[in-house]
Amino acid sequence: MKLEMASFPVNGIVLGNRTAWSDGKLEINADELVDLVMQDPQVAWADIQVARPGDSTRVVRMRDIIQPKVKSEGQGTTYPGISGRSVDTVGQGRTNRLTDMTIIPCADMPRVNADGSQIWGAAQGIASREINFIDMSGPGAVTPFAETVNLCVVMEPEGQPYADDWNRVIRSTMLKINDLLAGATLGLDAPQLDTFDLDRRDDALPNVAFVPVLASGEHRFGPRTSLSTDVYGVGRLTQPWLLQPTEMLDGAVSGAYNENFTWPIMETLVPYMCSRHGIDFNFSGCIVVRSNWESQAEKQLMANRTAQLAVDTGVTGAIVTTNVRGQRFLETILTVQALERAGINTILMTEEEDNENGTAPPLLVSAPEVTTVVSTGTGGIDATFPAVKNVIGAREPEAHWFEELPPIHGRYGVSHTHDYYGFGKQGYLDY
Amino acid sequence: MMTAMPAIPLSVGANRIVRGVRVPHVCGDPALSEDRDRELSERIVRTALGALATRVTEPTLFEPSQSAPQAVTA
Repeated sequence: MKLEMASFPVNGIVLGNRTAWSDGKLEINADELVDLVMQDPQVAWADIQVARPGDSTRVVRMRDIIQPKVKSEGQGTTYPGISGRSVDTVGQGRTNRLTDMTIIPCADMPRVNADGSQIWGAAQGIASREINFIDMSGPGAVTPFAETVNLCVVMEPEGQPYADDWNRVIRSTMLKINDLLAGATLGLDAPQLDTFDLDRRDDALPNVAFVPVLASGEHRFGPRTSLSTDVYGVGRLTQPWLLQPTEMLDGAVSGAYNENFTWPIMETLVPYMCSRHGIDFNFSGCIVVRSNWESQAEKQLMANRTAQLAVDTGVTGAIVTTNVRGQRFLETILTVQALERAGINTILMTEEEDNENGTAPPLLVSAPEVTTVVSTGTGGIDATFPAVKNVIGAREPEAHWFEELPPIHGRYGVSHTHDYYGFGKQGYLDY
Repeated sequence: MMTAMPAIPLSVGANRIVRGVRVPHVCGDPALSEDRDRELSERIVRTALGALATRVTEPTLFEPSQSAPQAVTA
């Protein structure tokens, strides 16, 4: 597939009375955006707030993070299949995007439904929630979102919502805002235009696939839940999906699973690997592996099918990533093992477990075939997070969010930055 | 260690590992009839008791499917 990506940088968001992009400035009409959000009767209150790099601001209760994108040529719609959007195949034609900014819906998520029927998973427990935040300045500002202008859509539900209902509201609201903002670039000349032509291949180069292992929400919330990372809107436990990288650039794989947001899946390895296509390797494709299968045999089967798919499509090298620790990591290791056994040189890119001061192994489980690993750290921050002036994420944020927060040591179910794709500034080379 | 994911304790180095059914129901299977479910549970537990009585020198996996069915009293 061939996709042109037209980039419109956003250096600042200014409040005005219309939605328009000009020369690096995005003008928004906050009232219009709030009205758009409030169109949904399930929303009781909404506000638009902007978190800027360097601000003494803390963003909390993020439910997803996306870059605004809209199709300007070619079939389909960005973030396809979500909230009733078209499932037409994307990844061709042209996509307009607003770079250096994100849209972040912020809302609380019930952990137990009003009827007690469904419990929002343990991974979304209090410990996880309390340390999952974005500091726009200070020692905690190590995520890429500390360097982007973040348009936060803060929402409160009407009454006590059902988790899956509320998540659908959050998703559709985020995409309405996405379409409005990115749509402001339609018809404009882009300051930067990148062409990703993945059909042209150099036979002298290795054929490399990106193999993200992505947790499905099916085992916990049922086959049709929205609380899952989806492929074209489908989050079910399925056999591996073969996707063109340009489809992923258009958001074919999107949706948050707990604190694993859309942005890291789409905007890190995939565009980088696209930019190296034809230079270092041929970017053969993406094989999306669904994790959270309940038996080891099923996990093994999916790993085997992934390897067979890679062999059948002529892949000679692979980069495997994971996105939730625990049993999902076993699926990741089995995938690496199966690929290596099929003769495919495979690199595992992953976070490490907290090593308990050197007494515990860095990986939950490993195999002799796992020979090349790129570590993205443990997500720990040794410094104290200073008090902040502003907190974005609730109508009346709890007082403790404004206060100094203690250092976060390593992982084990709690992590400040989920960096499975190596995008954070946590290495010496970054400073 | 009774688990649906034996690969993890084998890798970490647990002494005795008994293969369970699935993550949400390690020691039984709701897809079975009540009698067969109970039979399966009992077989897994008996395998675990047998494992406790077995001397091991390295991480060892005990398979309930290989334990003698005649030991099960339904």
